[in-house]
Amino acid sequence: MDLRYTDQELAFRDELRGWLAHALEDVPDEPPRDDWAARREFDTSWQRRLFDAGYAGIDWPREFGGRGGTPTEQLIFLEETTRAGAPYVGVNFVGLLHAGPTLAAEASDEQRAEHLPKILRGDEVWCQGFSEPGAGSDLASLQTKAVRDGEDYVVNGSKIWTSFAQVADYCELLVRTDTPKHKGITWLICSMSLPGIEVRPLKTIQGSSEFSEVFFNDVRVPAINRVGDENDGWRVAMVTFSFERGTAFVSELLDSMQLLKRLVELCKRNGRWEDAGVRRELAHLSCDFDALWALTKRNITQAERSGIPGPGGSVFKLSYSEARHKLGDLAMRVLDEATLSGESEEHIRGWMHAMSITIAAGTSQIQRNILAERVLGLPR
Amino acid sequence: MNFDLGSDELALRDAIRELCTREFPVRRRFDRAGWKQLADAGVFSLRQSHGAGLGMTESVIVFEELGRALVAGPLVATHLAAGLFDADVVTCLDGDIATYPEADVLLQMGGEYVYAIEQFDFTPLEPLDPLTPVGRVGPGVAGSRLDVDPRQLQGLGAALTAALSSGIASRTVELAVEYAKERTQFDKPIGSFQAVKHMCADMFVRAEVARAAIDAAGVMLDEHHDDVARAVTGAKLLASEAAIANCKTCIQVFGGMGFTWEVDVHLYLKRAAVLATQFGGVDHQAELAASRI
Repeated sequence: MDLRYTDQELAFRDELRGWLAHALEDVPDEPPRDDWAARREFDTSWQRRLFDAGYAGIDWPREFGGRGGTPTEQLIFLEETTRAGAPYVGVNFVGLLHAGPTLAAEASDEQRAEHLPKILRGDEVWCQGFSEPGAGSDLASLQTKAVRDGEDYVVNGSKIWTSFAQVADYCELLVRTDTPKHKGITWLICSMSLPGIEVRPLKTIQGSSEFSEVFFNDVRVPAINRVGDENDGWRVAMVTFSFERGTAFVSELLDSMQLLKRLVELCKRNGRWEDAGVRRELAHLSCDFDALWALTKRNITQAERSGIPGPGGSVFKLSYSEARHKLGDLAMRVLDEATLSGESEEHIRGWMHAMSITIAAGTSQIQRNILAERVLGLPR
Repeated sequence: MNFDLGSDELALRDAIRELCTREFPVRRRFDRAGWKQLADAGVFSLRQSHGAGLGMTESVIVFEELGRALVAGPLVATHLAAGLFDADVVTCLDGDIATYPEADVLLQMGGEYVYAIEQFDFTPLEPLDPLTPVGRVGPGVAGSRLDVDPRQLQGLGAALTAALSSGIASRTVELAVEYAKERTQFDKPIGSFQAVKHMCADMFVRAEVARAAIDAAGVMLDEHHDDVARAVTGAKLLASEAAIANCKTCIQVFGGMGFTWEVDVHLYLKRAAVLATQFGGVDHQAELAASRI
C-alpha cells in the first residue's frame, strides 16, 4: 500500500494548479441562488473552460471527449479545484456524475456520440427522473407509464426531487413498460423540450429551489432514445447508483473539511475553543473527516482495480452524513443566538444540508439494508 | 497511490491469520512458549534489519490480525523494544500500573524520556480482562534511560494499539453476523429483522472507517507525511471507539448469552477497554487532535 501520488499524478496536479491559478482570476461572481438562467450560464461556462483546457471528464475515455485519466487523477482534480475555490459542478452534476457514466457504460454508440461530448462541453444539462411521489425508497414501485405507439413511447406520470429540471435539456427517465416490478422498468433519454412536460419547483428546507416536481402528460419520447433493452432499466439504474454512491460525495467531503476549519477559527475568536467539550468534539470531527478521506482513497483504489465503485460507497455515505449532522449540530450550539439571523449563513445552511444527505441518494436506512444484505449476507 | 492491500500484504495477513487460527484460540493465556512462536513468526522483529525489514504499513496489518484473534500478551511494547534492546517479554508501565507484570523489562515513557526498568517488584491486582494480568509496580525500581525520542515511540505504540483495536472491531462484526444468521426467534433468523441488520451494518461502517484510518496512519508513518501525527491520533481515537462500540453491539446481538462467559464476546469487550487506555485514551487523543487542527 502507498498513499504517494506517482510522478505522473504529481505532474498532472502541478499542471492543474498552474492552470487554476490563472483561470480563477476572471471567474465572475456567483449569481443569485434562485436565478436559474444565470446559474446555468455560470456553471456551464466554467465547464466549457475546463473542457477547452483539457480538464473535463478526467477519467472518461478519450473517445467520448474525456481525458482518459485514472480515477486517482479525478480525485486529484476534485482535491485541487475544491482547495482553489473553483466553481462547483452545479447544474452539470447529473450529466457528469450520473447520466454520463451510465451512458458510457450502457448506451449505444450513437447515443454516446450524441450526448457525452456535449455533457463534457457544458452544452447539455441533465436532470434525474427516477423518484416519484409514490416511489421513494421503494423506487422499483414507480408508476410513470410508457406505452409503445409506433416509433415512440407515450409517457404519463410524475417525477419528484428532480434537481435542475427548470434548466435541464435532458432527463434520465425511468418508466414502467410492463407489470413485473423490477423487470418492467425502462431507462429513457427524454428531451425536456418535448410537449407535455410541466416543471413545478419545490422550496426546500433551506429556502432553495433546485428540486422540482415534473409532470408528464402524453409526452412522446422516440423509442430510439431507450438505453439498454425494454424492461431492463432497473439493471441500468443500478449502474447509475453505483456511480452516485461511489465518488459523488468527494468534493462535499473536502468542502466539509474547510467548513470545519472555519468553525474552529470562529470558536478560537469567540472563546468557545476554551471549552474542552466543544474543543474535543471539533477535534473528533476532524479525525472523522481525515478517516473518510483515507476511506475515499481506498474506495478509489478498489474502483481502479475493479472498474466500478464497490460497497465502500455505502460505508462512506453512512459515516459521512452522520459526521455532517454532528458538525451541523455543534455549529448551532456554538453559534447560539447568532443562529437567529443570516449572519452565520454557511453554518446554518450546513446544518440543514446534513438533513438532506441522510435522505438523498438512498436513505441511511436503505444504505444499511444494502450493507447488511449484500455485503454481510444477512437474510432478506 | 494504491491504498488497498496488495498481494504481498494479503499473503502476510493470511499467514498471520493462519498462525493465529492454528495456535492461538481466543482463550489462550499469555505463555512464553506461545511468545516464542510469535517471535519466530517475526511479529516483533518485523521492522528490524535482522528481521523482515518491513515497515509500519505491514506491522499494522499484522497487529490487526493479532487483535482479531485476541492474542494475549504485551505485543506492542515487545515489538517497540525489538529495536532498542534485547529482551523476550517487554511491557509498559503506566503510572504505577503494568499489564503482564511478569515481563522481563518495563518500558516507562514520559514526555521527555524513556526508561527500561529491569528490576522491580509488583503486587498482582484483580484484572478487568481475565487474559490481561495487571499489577501495581514498586515502590522501588531500577533501570536505565534509553536514547530514543519518546514522542516517536509513543506514536508507534499508539498506531500498533489502534491496529489491535481495529482488529477487534472487524472480528466482532463477523461474530455478530454469524450469530444473527443462526439464532432464530419468531420462526426467523434474527438477522432478517431490520433492527438487527442495521446494528450489524453500523458495526461494519465503524470497523471499515477505523481500518482505513489505521492503515493510512501506518502508510503515512513509513512515508514520513507532514500530517502523520494527526493521522495516528485520529486512528487511535476512532479505532478505540469502534472496538468498544462494536463489542457492545455484538453483546446486544447475542442477547443474554452475550452477557455470560458461555460465549467469548465479553473477552473482546474487556480487551477493547484495556487497549483504549494504552498509549493515550480517547480524551487524550481528542486533545492531541485539537492541538493539531
